Amino acid sequence: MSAPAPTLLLLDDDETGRFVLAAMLEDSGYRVTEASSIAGARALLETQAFDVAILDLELGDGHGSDLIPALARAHPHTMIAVLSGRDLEPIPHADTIITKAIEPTELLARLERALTIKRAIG
Amino acid sequence: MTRQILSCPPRLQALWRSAAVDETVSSLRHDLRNKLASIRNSNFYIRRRAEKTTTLLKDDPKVGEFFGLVESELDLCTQLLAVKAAPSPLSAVIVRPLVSELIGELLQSLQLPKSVEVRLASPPAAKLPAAAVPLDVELALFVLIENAVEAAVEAGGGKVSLEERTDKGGFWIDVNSACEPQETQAWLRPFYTRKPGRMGLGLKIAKRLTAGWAGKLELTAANGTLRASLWFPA
Repeated sequence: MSAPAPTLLLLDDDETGRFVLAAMLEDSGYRVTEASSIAGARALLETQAFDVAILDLELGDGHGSDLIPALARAHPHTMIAVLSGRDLEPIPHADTIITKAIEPTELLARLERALTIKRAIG
Repeated sequence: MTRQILSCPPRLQALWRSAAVDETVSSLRHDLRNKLASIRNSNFYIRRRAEKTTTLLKDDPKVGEFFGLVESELDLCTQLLAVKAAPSPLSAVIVRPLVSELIGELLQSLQLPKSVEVRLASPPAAKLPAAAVPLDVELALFVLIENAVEAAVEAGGGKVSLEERTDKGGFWIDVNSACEPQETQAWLRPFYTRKPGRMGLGLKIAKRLTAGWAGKLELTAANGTLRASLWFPA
Protein backbone atom coordinates (compact mmCIF):
# COMPACT_ATOMS: atom_id res chain seq x y z
CA MET A 1 0.00 0.00 0.00
CA SER A 2 1.42 3.39 -0.93
CA ALA A 3 2.07 6.07 1.70
CA PRO A 4 -0.70 8.65 2.18
CA ALA A 5 -0.25 11.93 0.34
CA PRO A 6 1.68 14.43 2.48
CA THR A 7 -0.46 17.25 3.81
CA LEU A 8 0.82 20.76 3.15
CA LEU A 9 -0.08 24.18 4.46
CA LEU A 10 0.62 26.94 1.94
CA LEU A 11 0.70 30.46 3.38
CA ASP A 12 0.98 33.24 0.82
CA ASP A 13 -1.05 36.42 0.44
CA ASP A 14 -0.36 36.67 -3.28
CA GLU A 15 -3.49 35.07 -4.69
CA THR A 16 -2.13 34.25 -8.13
CA GLY A 17 1.14 32.86 -6.81
CA ARG A 18 -0.67 30.76 -4.23
CA PHE A 19 -3.20 29.43 -6.77
CA VAL A 20 -0.49 28.37 -9.21
CA LEU A 21 1.84 26.87 -6.60
CA ALA A 22 -1.03 24.98 -4.96
CA ALA A 23 -2.04 23.50 -8.33
CA MET A 24 1.55 22.45 -9.02
CA LEU A 25 1.97 20.90 -5.58
CA GLU A 26 -1.34 19.04 -5.79
CA ASP A 27 -0.34 17.70 -9.19
CA SER A 28 2.86 16.50 -7.51
CA GLY A 29 0.98 14.51 -4.89
CA TYR A 30 0.55 16.90 -1.95
CA ARG A 31 -2.77 17.59 -0.26
CA VAL A 32 -2.70 21.37 -0.06
CA THR A 33 -4.55 23.67 2.33
CA GLU A 34 -4.22 27.36 1.56
CA ALA A 35 -4.01 30.34 3.90
CA SER A 36 -3.70 33.97 2.84
CA SER A 37 -2.81 35.47 6.22
CA ILE A 38 -0.95 34.67 9.42
CA ALA A 39 -4.25 34.78 11.31
CA GLY A 40 -5.75 32.27 8.89
CA ALA A 41 -2.73 29.99 9.18
CA ARG A 42 -2.80 30.16 12.98
CA ALA A 43 -6.48 29.17 12.97
CA LEU A 44 -5.74 26.17 10.74
CA LEU A 45 -2.77 25.10 12.87
CA GLU A 46 -4.93 25.07 15.98
CA THR A 47 -7.03 22.24 14.57
CA GLN A 48 -4.77 20.46 12.09
CA ALA A 49 -1.24 19.15 11.79
CA PHE A 50 0.56 19.24 8.46
CA ASP A 51 3.51 17.29 7.12
CA VAL A 52 4.80 20.40 5.40
CA ALA A 53 4.27 24.12 5.90
CA ILE A 54 5.37 26.54 3.20
CA LEU A 55 5.43 30.07 4.57
CA ASP A 56 5.77 33.25 2.60
CA LEU A 57 7.46 35.95 4.65
CA GLU A 58 6.07 39.35 3.74
CA LEU A 59 2.36 39.17 4.48
CA GLY A 60 -0.32 41.77 4.98
CA ASP A 61 -0.77 41.01 8.67
CA GLY A 62 2.83 40.39 9.66
CA HIS A 63 5.94 38.39 8.90
CA GLY A 64 5.62 34.69 8.08
CA SER A 65 8.62 33.90 10.28
CA ASP A 66 6.57 35.03 13.30
CA LEU A 67 4.68 31.74 12.97
CA ILE A 68 7.76 29.55 13.02
CA PRO A 69 8.57 29.29 16.77
CA ALA A 70 4.98 28.40 17.73
CA LEU A 71 4.67 26.06 14.75
CA ALA A 72 7.92 24.29 15.62
CA ARG A 73 6.80 23.91 19.25
CA ALA A 74 3.25 22.74 18.57
CA HIS A 75 4.02 20.61 15.52
CA PRO A 76 7.64 19.44 15.76
CA HIS A 77 7.11 16.90 12.95
CA THR A 78 6.05 19.53 10.43
CA MET A 79 8.72 20.31 7.88
CA ILE A 80 8.92 24.09 7.61
CA ALA A 81 9.87 25.68 4.31
CA VAL A 82 10.23 29.44 4.02
CA LEU A 83 9.35 30.97 0.69
CA SER A 84 10.74 34.36 -0.13
CA GLY A 85 11.27 36.77 -2.97
CA ARG A 86 14.50 37.91 -1.31
CA ASP A 87 17.81 36.16 -0.64
CA LEU A 88 17.79 35.11 2.97
CA GLU A 89 20.11 33.96 5.70
CA PRO A 90 19.14 30.71 7.48
CA ILE A 91 16.12 31.12 9.78
CA PRO A 92 16.00 29.22 13.10
CA HIS A 93 13.65 26.19 12.98
CA ALA A 94 13.11 26.52 9.21
CA ASP A 95 14.10 23.27 7.50
CA THR A 96 14.64 24.85 4.11
CA ILE A 97 14.50 28.25 2.46
CA ILE A 98 13.16 28.49 -1.06
CA THR A 99 13.68 31.55 -3.20
CA LYS A 100 10.70 32.40 -5.36
CA ALA A 101 11.12 31.80 -9.09
CA ILE A 102 13.24 28.74 -8.33
CA GLU A 103 13.09 26.01 -10.98
CA PRO A 104 9.92 23.98 -10.16
CA THR A 105 11.71 20.62 -10.37
CA GLU A 106 14.31 21.98 -7.93
CA LEU A 107 11.56 23.26 -5.61
CA LEU A 108 9.83 19.86 -5.59
CA ALA A 109 13.14 18.06 -5.05
CA ARG A 110 14.05 20.36 -2.14
CA LEU A 111 10.67 19.80 -0.50
CA GLU A 112 10.92 16.04 -0.91
CA ARG A 113 14.49 15.96 0.42
CA ALA A 114 13.65 18.09 3.44
CA LEU A 115 10.52 16.05 4.14
CA THR A 116 12.49 12.80 3.95
CA ILE A 117 15.11 14.12 6.39
CA LYS A 118 12.44 15.45 8.74
CA ARG A 119 10.65 12.11 8.76
CA ALA A 120 13.90 10.23 9.29
CA ILE A 121 14.93 12.28 12.32
CA GLY A 122 11.42 13.03 13.56
CA MET B 1 10.36 62.30 0.08
CA THR B 2 12.25 65.36 -1.12
CA ARG B 3 11.03 67.31 1.90
CA GLN B 4 12.13 64.48 4.16
CA ILE B 5 15.56 64.37 2.56
CA LEU B 6 16.00 68.11 2.82
CA SER B 7 15.09 68.02 6.51
CA CYS B 8 18.13 65.92 7.39
CA PRO B 9 21.69 67.17 7.82
CA PRO B 10 23.36 67.78 4.44
CA ARG B 11 25.97 65.07 5.04
CA LEU B 12 23.15 62.46 5.12
CA GLN B 13 21.16 63.63 2.11
CA ALA B 14 23.08 61.80 -0.61
CA LEU B 15 23.05 58.62 1.44
CA TRP B 16 19.30 58.91 1.93
CA ARG B 17 18.73 59.27 -1.83
CA SER B 18 20.97 56.29 -2.49
CA ALA B 19 19.24 54.21 0.20
CA ALA B 20 15.80 55.12 -1.20
CA VAL B 21 16.88 53.91 -4.63
CA ASP B 22 18.31 50.69 -3.13
CA GLU B 23 15.07 50.04 -1.26
CA THR B 24 12.92 50.74 -4.31
CA VAL B 25 15.02 48.41 -6.46
CA SER B 26 14.85 45.74 -3.78
CA SER B 27 11.06 45.99 -3.64
CA LEU B 28 10.79 45.83 -7.42
CA ARG B 29 13.11 42.82 -7.44
CA HIS B 30 10.92 41.12 -4.85
CA ASP B 31 7.69 41.84 -6.74
CA LEU B 32 9.15 40.70 -10.05
CA ARG B 33 10.38 37.46 -8.51
CA ASN B 34 6.82 36.80 -7.32
CA LYS B 35 5.45 37.34 -10.82
CA LEU B 36 8.19 35.25 -12.43
CA ALA B 37 7.49 32.45 -9.97
CA SER B 38 3.83 32.39 -11.02
CA ILE B 39 4.74 32.31 -14.72
CA ARG B 40 7.39 29.62 -14.19
CA ASN B 41 5.14 27.42 -12.09
CA SER B 42 2.25 27.85 -14.55
CA ASN B 43 4.51 26.88 -17.45
CA PHE B 44 5.71 23.82 -15.56
CA TYR B 45 2.16 22.79 -14.62
CA ILE B 46 0.75 23.18 -18.14
CA ARG B 47 3.66 21.29 -19.69
CA ARG B 48 3.40 18.44 -17.24
CA ARG B 49 -0.37 18.17 -17.65
CA ALA B 50 0.04 18.23 -21.42
CA GLU B 51 2.61 15.41 -21.20
CA LYS B 52 0.45 13.35 -18.87
CA THR B 53 -2.95 13.78 -20.46
CA THR B 54 -2.47 14.63 -24.14
CA THR B 55 -0.33 13.82 -27.15
CA LEU B 56 0.12 17.54 -27.90
CA LEU B 57 3.86 17.60 -27.42
CA LYS B 58 4.32 14.59 -29.72
CA ASP B 59 1.89 15.91 -32.32
CA ASP B 60 3.46 19.35 -32.52
CA PRO B 61 7.15 19.52 -31.51
CA LYS B 62 6.98 23.32 -31.57
CA VAL B 63 4.79 23.24 -28.44
CA GLY B 64 7.65 21.66 -26.49
CA GLU B 65 10.05 24.20 -27.96
CA PHE B 66 7.82 27.03 -26.79
CA PHE B 67 7.68 25.62 -23.27
CA GLY B 68 11.47 25.48 -23.35
CA LEU B 69 11.64 29.03 -24.71
CA VAL B 70 9.51 30.37 -21.86
CA GLU B 71 11.74 28.57 -19.36
CA SER B 72 14.99 29.88 -20.84
CA GLU B 73 13.64 33.45 -20.97
CA LEU B 74 12.63 33.13 -17.32
CA ASP B 75 16.14 31.93 -16.50
CA LEU B 76 17.54 35.08 -18.12
CA CYS B 77 15.11 37.29 -16.18
CA THR B 78 16.07 35.57 -12.93
CA GLN B 79 19.75 36.11 -13.67
CA LEU B 80 19.12 39.78 -14.39
CA LEU B 81 17.32 40.13 -11.08
CA ALA B 82 20.24 38.54 -9.29
CA VAL B 83 22.67 41.23 -10.48
CA LYS B 84 23.40 43.55 -7.61
CA ALA B 85 25.06 46.91 -7.64
CA ALA B 86 28.37 47.39 -5.88
CA PRO B 87 28.06 48.71 -2.32
CA SER B 88 27.82 52.45 -2.13
CA PRO B 89 31.10 54.15 -1.13
CA LEU B 90 28.93 56.40 1.01
CA SER B 91 28.67 53.58 3.54
CA ALA B 92 32.17 54.29 4.79
CA VAL B 93 32.54 54.78 8.52
CA ILE B 94 32.66 58.41 9.57
CA VAL B 95 33.55 59.19 13.14
CA ARG B 96 30.77 61.03 14.90
CA PRO B 97 30.42 62.27 18.48
CA LEU B 98 28.69 60.42 21.28
CA VAL B 99 25.31 59.01 20.31
CA SER B 100 23.50 61.36 22.69
CA GLU B 101 25.28 64.37 21.25
CA LEU B 102 24.52 63.11 17.79
CA ILE B 103 20.82 62.86 18.62
CA GLY B 104 20.85 66.47 19.78
CA GLU B 105 22.45 67.50 16.53
CA LEU B 106 19.92 65.58 14.44
CA LEU B 107 17.06 67.15 16.36
CA GLN B 108 18.35 70.61 15.57
CA SER B 109 18.17 69.94 11.85
CA LEU B 110 14.51 68.92 12.14
CA GLN B 111 13.29 72.37 13.22
CA LEU B 112 10.82 70.93 15.71
CA PRO B 113 7.36 72.48 15.91
CA LYS B 114 6.42 73.94 19.30
CA SER B 115 3.65 71.36 19.73
CA VAL B 116 6.20 68.56 19.93
CA GLU B 117 8.45 68.03 22.89
CA VAL B 118 11.46 65.78 22.51
CA ARG B 119 13.05 64.42 25.64
CA LEU B 120 16.42 62.73 25.63
CA ALA B 121 16.60 60.40 28.60
CA SER B 122 20.04 59.02 29.09
CA PRO B 123 20.61 57.87 32.68
CA PRO B 124 24.30 57.86 33.68
CA ALA B 125 24.26 54.08 34.19
CA ALA B 126 23.22 53.52 30.62
CA LYS B 127 25.48 56.16 29.15
CA LEU B 128 27.01 54.71 26.08
CA PRO B 129 30.72 54.79 25.47
CA ALA B 130 32.11 57.16 22.91
CA ALA B 131 31.91 55.40 19.62
CA ALA B 132 32.38 55.91 15.95
CA VAL B 133 28.89 56.04 14.48
CA PRO B 134 28.81 55.05 10.81
CA LEU B 135 27.07 57.46 8.50
CA ASP B 136 24.36 54.97 7.61
CA VAL B 137 23.61 54.27 11.28
CA GLU B 138 23.29 58.00 11.70
CA LEU B 139 20.75 58.07 8.87
CA ALA B 140 18.82 55.14 10.38
CA LEU B 141 18.63 57.03 13.65
CA PHE B 142 17.56 60.22 11.94
CA VAL B 143 14.77 58.37 10.08
CA LEU B 144 13.43 57.00 13.37
CA ILE B 145 13.46 60.39 15.03
CA GLU B 146 11.90 62.10 12.02
CA ASN B 147 9.12 59.49 11.88
CA ALA B 148 8.42 59.84 15.59
CA VAL B 149 8.25 63.63 15.34
CA GLU B 150 5.93 63.41 12.32
CA ALA B 151 3.66 61.02 14.24
CA ALA B 152 3.55 63.45 17.14
CA VAL B 153 2.75 66.37 14.81
CA GLU B 154 0.00 64.32 13.18
CA ALA B 155 -1.46 63.58 16.60
CA GLY B 156 -1.67 67.33 17.24
CA GLY B 157 1.46 67.49 19.35
CA GLY B 158 2.94 65.40 22.08
CA LYS B 159 6.10 63.91 23.43
CA VAL B 160 8.82 61.96 21.75
CA SER B 161 11.31 60.34 24.07
CA LEU B 162 14.70 58.99 23.20
CA GLU B 163 16.58 56.56 25.41
CA GLU B 164 19.88 54.78 25.33
CA ARG B 165 20.36 51.50 27.14
CA THR B 166 22.62 48.47 27.12
CA ASP B 167 21.19 44.97 26.96
CA LYS B 168 21.50 41.66 25.10
CA GLY B 169 25.17 42.09 24.40
CA GLY B 170 24.83 45.42 22.71
CA PHE B 171 23.35 48.87 22.98
CA TRP B 172 19.91 50.13 22.16
CA ILE B 173 18.53 53.45 21.11
CA ASP B 174 14.78 53.67 21.66
CA VAL B 175 12.55 56.24 20.04
CA ASN B 176 9.07 56.36 21.57
CA SER B 177 6.06 58.14 20.09
CA ALA B 178 2.27 57.97 20.07
CA CYS B 179 0.96 55.51 17.49
CA GLU B 180 -1.96 53.21 16.76
CA PRO B 181 -0.67 49.77 17.89
CA GLN B 182 -2.26 47.83 15.01
CA GLU B 183 0.02 49.59 12.58
CA THR B 184 3.24 48.20 13.99
CA GLN B 185 3.96 45.63 11.29
CA ALA B 186 2.48 47.69 8.47
CA TRP B 187 5.11 50.37 9.04
CA LEU B 188 7.81 47.95 7.99
CA ARG B 189 6.18 47.30 4.62
CA PRO B 190 7.78 49.21 1.75
CA PHE B 191 5.73 52.10 0.40
CA TYR B 192 3.38 52.06 3.39
CA THR B 193 2.52 55.55 4.55
CA ARG B 194 -0.50 57.48 5.75
CA LYS B 195 1.13 60.80 5.07
CA PRO B 196 0.72 62.64 1.77
CA GLY B 197 3.92 63.50 -0.06
CA ARG B 198 5.94 60.68 1.49
CA MET B 199 7.08 57.39 0.01
CA GLY B 200 6.82 55.11 3.02
CA LEU B 201 10.38 53.86 2.76
CA GLY B 202 11.92 55.38 5.89
CA LEU B 203 11.68 52.44 8.27
CA LYS B 204 12.59 49.91 5.58
CA ILE B 205 15.67 52.00 4.84
CA ALA B 206 16.51 52.22 8.55
CA LYS B 207 16.15 48.45 8.88
CA ARG B 208 18.38 47.77 5.89
CA LEU B 209 21.06 50.22 7.01
CA THR B 210 21.06 48.81 10.54
CA ALA B 211 21.33 45.23 9.30
CA GLY B 212 24.42 46.30 7.36
CA TRP B 213 26.12 46.82 10.74
CA ALA B 214 24.91 43.52 12.23
CA GLY B 215 22.24 45.46 14.07
CA LYS B 216 18.48 45.24 14.03
CA LEU B 217 15.42 47.43 14.11
CA GLU B 218 12.53 46.38 16.34
CA LEU B 219 9.08 47.91 16.55
CA THR B 220 6.95 47.28 19.59
CA ALA B 221 3.64 48.85 20.51
CA ALA B 222 1.96 49.12 23.90
CA ASN B 223 -0.56 51.47 25.47
CA GLY B 224 -0.77 53.67 22.39
CA THR B 225 2.98 54.14 22.16
CA LEU B 226 5.19 52.87 19.38
CA ARG B 227 8.77 52.13 20.32
CA ALA B 228 11.26 51.93 17.48
CA SER B 229 14.51 50.46 18.75
CA LEU B 230 17.87 50.20 17.08
CA TRP B 231 20.20 47.56 18.50
CA PHE B 232 23.88 47.20 17.72
CA PRO B 233 26.32 44.61 19.01
CA ALA B 234 28.75 45.99 21.54
